[in-house]
Amino acid sequence: MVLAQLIISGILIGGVYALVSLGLTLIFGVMRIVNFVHGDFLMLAMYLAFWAATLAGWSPYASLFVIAPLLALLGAGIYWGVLRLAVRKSHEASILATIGLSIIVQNVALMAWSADYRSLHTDFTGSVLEWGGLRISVPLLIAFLVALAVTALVFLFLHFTYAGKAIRAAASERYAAALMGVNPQRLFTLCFAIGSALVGVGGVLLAPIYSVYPTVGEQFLLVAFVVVVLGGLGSLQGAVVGGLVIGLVETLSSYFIAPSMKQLVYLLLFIAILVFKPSGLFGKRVEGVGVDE
Amino acid sequence: MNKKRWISGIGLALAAALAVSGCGSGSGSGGGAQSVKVGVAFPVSGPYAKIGQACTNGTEIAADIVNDAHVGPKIELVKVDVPNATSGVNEVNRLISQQRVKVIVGTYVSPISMAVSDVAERNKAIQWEVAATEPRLTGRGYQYVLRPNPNAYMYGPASVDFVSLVVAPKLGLKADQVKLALVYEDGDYGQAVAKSIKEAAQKAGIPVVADISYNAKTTNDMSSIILQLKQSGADVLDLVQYDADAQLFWKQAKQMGLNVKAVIGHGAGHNSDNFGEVFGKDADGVLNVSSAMGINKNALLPETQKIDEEFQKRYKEKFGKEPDLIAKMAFSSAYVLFKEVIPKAGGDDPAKIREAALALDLPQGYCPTGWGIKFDPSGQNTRATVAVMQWQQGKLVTVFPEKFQVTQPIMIPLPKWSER
Repeated sequence: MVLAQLIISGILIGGVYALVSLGLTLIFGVMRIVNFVHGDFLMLAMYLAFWAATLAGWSPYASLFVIAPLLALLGAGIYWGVLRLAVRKSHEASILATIGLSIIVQNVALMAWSADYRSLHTDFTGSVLEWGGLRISVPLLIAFLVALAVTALVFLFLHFTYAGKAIRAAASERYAAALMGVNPQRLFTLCFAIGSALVGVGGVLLAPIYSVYPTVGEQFLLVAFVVVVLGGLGSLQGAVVGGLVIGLVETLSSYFIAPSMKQLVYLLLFIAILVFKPSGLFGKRVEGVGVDE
Repeated sequence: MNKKRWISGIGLALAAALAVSGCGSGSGSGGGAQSVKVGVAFPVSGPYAKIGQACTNGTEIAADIVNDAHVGPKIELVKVDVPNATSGVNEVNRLISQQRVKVIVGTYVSPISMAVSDVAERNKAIQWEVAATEPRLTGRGYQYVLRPNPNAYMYGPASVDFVSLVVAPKLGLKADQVKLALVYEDGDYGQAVAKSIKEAAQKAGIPVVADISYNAKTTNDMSSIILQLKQSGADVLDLVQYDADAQLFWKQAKQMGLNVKAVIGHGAGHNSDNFGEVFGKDADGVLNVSSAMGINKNALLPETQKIDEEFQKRYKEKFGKEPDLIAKMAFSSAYVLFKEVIPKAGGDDPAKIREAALALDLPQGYCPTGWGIKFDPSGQNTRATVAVMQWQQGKLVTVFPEKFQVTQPIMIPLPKWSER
């Protein structure tokens, strides 16, 4: 019984990790931008969902449809306005640019909303499904199901639309794609917008579960990078499976070994997997990095 | 010609600035300096910003009140942001070397305070702590570190006393029949408080049935901890948590139906106003061991009651919200420095400040938190009392010891979640 509960909890938190990592795997995996502002976009989405619920009484599952497009716009704007110029220079330039953006976004949030730890706590956020002594948190379950649905949608987009195919083409062979008439910068703006919308979805769905504060993104950013690399850069299925693996390992090891050891356990596993499969669980070897026009 | 005038203008401005800063810091050595520069170093950005801001606010109000009362040199605050140990060292170095500050109030975060105290001690500047609990801060023989607030070792005995004197009888058990479980964050703060609880529990013969630590920054799910607690069959749950993790824990404790007979937090997450705001009536019944917040007026000296009211009023006016406990602790601590120590030292000479501080002998109830002041030679205040509070109807009120008590403890045993 305890084991069953642990596995359920592990899968649910794995869903959270998958949700946070989906957008990152597009941005980091396809565009090779080490995106430190990803966690702060998550924080922004959580705040927007929190305020929509507190001030306007919108359920996060409704505000989702407003906040995700907002985040997409913001992502596109930030890519076009800042990162587009940085990625031309060098890898380091784009890393520093995203770190700088992260600091700006965090401190704007700090000034606007103070450092208070806010949290939605309603009957709904605490609701659980009980089934023979097992307890499943409803907000976590919804987050998990949406993670799966979003993965399927983006998968379809990438495989069955022109833009999606172009993104994949640019990801696997950038120069050839450009030679075939694909405009990489326009494509990358789209890609960054989609990645930001995905983290927007993640943030909204996490708002009923976690406290919101200006540095909440840092809590999830490291694990999201681990999930993305573990699953294979740019692979959506990889992000879901990677998230579930980390979630399960974390939950089981913190019960059977010790909670303070769980990070050690999953990072060891991470290293082991990279030793045997350097491109990650679902990754393909990709040659040639660096964004050029 | 033009250029020359410009240069001489700069020269004049510089000279004026020097004159101002010279008289500002007053170099403090002689009696009766006009004003004293005090560094205020708290993390007002980054992960500790919430409490750092409250500390800064509390310190500001203390300076306002003392300055308006004209009891001694005017207190000029120089505020800096110290979100982590590295910036703490840099900023405090800068305060000391460039701003000529000799007294620093800060930093509340134990690891940052540990780093800052090294800088202060090396430069013979005073570090006046307000909330950090790390026992080693004053335990290393440093001359210039002074701490009016309780250290971590004072939490355990108070917490365990409450369990054996109040909780156990209410549960109809003898103290040694109460099963205690400990869950704490694995940083300096959690470990030191947990250690003192374990030692006190052992002395009182209370068995500890679970001893679980976790990393507050990387833990996104508490369910395995909660399952372990369920298996342990604990009666009383002792928690040492920061804000975000305390909120996550309590949320999941409800979802997973963790029922214990009493829950006792130990500062930080459980005395933060956010805990009450988020959980509302679900926070009711949660106990918290720390310096006293809603304290019985009669436990305070008459003039302290007035100061406390003044503090509450001014805080609300200036910052638009009620002070929480941490703001009150910072206020209490800084007030002692500004009102009692600096005037008696006649300025900011660190050796005189230490002398004046160690000479203080103020009875319990002098500070709005109920503390008296009597430093031991290590710089730790020995009259920093710790009380037990409880969330009742969204407010944190003192329930133990009796002298500080505002109301009786309720909800012991804590009702099951299904019956709340």
